[in-house]
Amino acid sequence: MGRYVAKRLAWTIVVLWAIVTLTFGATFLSPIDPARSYAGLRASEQAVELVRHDFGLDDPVYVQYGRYLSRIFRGDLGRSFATDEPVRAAIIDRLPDTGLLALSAAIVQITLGIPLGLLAALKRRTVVDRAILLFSLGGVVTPTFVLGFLLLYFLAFKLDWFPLGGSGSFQSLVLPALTLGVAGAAWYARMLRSTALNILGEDYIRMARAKGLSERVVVLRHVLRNAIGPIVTMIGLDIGVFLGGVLIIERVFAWPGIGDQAWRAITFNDVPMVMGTVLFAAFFVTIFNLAADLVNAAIDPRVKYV
Amino acid sequence: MSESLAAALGSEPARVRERGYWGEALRSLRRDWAAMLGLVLVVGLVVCALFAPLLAPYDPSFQQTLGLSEQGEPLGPSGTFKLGTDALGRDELSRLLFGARVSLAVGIGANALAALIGIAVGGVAGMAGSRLQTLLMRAVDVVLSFPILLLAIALLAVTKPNLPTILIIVGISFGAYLARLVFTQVVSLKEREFVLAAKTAGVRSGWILLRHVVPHVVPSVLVYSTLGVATAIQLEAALSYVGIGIQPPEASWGNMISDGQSYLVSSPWLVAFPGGAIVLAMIGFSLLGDGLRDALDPTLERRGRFLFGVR
Repeated sequence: MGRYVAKRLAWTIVVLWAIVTLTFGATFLSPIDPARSYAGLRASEQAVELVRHDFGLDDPVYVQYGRYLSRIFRGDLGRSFATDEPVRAAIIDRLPDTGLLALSAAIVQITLGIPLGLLAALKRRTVVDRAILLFSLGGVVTPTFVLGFLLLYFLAFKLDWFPLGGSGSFQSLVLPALTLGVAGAAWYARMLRSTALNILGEDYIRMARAKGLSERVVVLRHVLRNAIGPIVTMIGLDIGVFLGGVLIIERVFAWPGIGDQAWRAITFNDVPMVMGTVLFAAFFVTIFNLAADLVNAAIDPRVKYV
Repeated sequence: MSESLAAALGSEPARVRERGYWGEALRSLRRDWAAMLGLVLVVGLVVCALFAPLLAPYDPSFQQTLGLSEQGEPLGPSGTFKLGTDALGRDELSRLLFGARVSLAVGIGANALAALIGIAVGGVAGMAGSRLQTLLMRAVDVVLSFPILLLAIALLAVTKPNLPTILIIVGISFGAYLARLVFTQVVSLKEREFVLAAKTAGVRSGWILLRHVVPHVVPSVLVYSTLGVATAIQLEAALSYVGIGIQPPEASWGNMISDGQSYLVSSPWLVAFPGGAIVLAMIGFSLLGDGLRDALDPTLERRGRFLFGVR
């Protein structure tokens, strides 16, 4: 176990390093001149050169790369071209809004996906099962932005139950969380159904029933408990992904989170902000990935420590 | 033996027609109505994309003189403009048809590239000695552990996004998944008797890979690639929607939705038509892919997270 953890940790560091290097490469090769962006479009050639020298942008590549690595390592993501604000502060500023959305979406996924998947498995080959499968197919083939606009048009515009976008109230949270959550719930339901179907055929389920346990106990203690492993991993990964900002959903609903900020940065060619967001999100994804693997290894003795 | 048996029975034995693996698969695919529905959708999409210049009533980027109402609003569906016009007075139907070209180009192109990468890398790694094998599969692992969408954003945001760049990024990330899949299959195929027989006969391992091993991995690669087309189409639409995919004025379903977003309340069709097109394309490739899996290789795992869309 200790060796597994060490190996897994080392691997995470390699991946993080590769991501940092890639963002450096992308920034370096980008046709957007950072000196010009900082100095302003109308600055004189001399002023631009001055900025270039001040920022060390005329140093050799490896010097710049070393500086970049040590800067990122200290958690300094640079300053935005557009607002001159430190990128890290700008992202952390938006984190509560994105966090709220991420958490609500995760709750939707769990409360919708798990019961539906379990129900479909228990009512196999009935109308209920078919309906749930249809729902999950629908959730899988409908891109989130299409679903988002559907909900916006009918529930927010036609029926006027929810605002057309923005944040700040419970009503404004419902649609984005639902849109984000339904797509995930569709996957959870699909996955749980197939795992639960496998488990329902196991001897220990027959044994539990033969002992005369109530169906409730059989389903909750024996089926769900054995089928929940992969779902727990997925929830962990999803929250990691969501925390990095949900670009599409935040743009559809004008939700003022990290993704919305990143979209603005993309539009304005604000390279440090884009790279900062990418690094921030990649960090979350990688760390949650690691956490999910370690949790799995800890709770499931069947995980092989390769 | 069989002749004497036939003579003993006094009649010709009923001839069982040899169908072979692919013939058998085709037969079971034809009986699968969901897969057939998928096929119809896919063929429809391909026809739209191939013949877009002939089918489109207008130039997709031409801003029609009569394309806007007197108030300067997009026009709804009518006789002149079958599916209405967009905010710049361009014909929506023509843009949808040309958008299908982009979607299919990314969907099929990226997955063809992914299949090549997957078979080449996974196959060579599977056949190779331990050093090359470790090197190749480690590289695959790095790509697999990357949050690939984020890197796509990083790369596309600073370069000028265009079709080949998107195609290559999607192709490499999907290719890594296929390389894993092919690798595990090749490693076990390598131990089978027919490979051993070829080896004993002195066949070079490159030829064994191409002639004897690769044909065995084609079915599963085909299944995953078909499902992958659906994901790639969604991915392209999402990237274009955010503004780092296909750039205007070129039409893509994703950037059409992005353009139509501000008119959701007054002209909902500007979002509904391209949105519907994406959903139909996704249904088509998903059903066809599911059907292919059932027909070709039912033991193949249900698709995993790699087909997860973009949020």
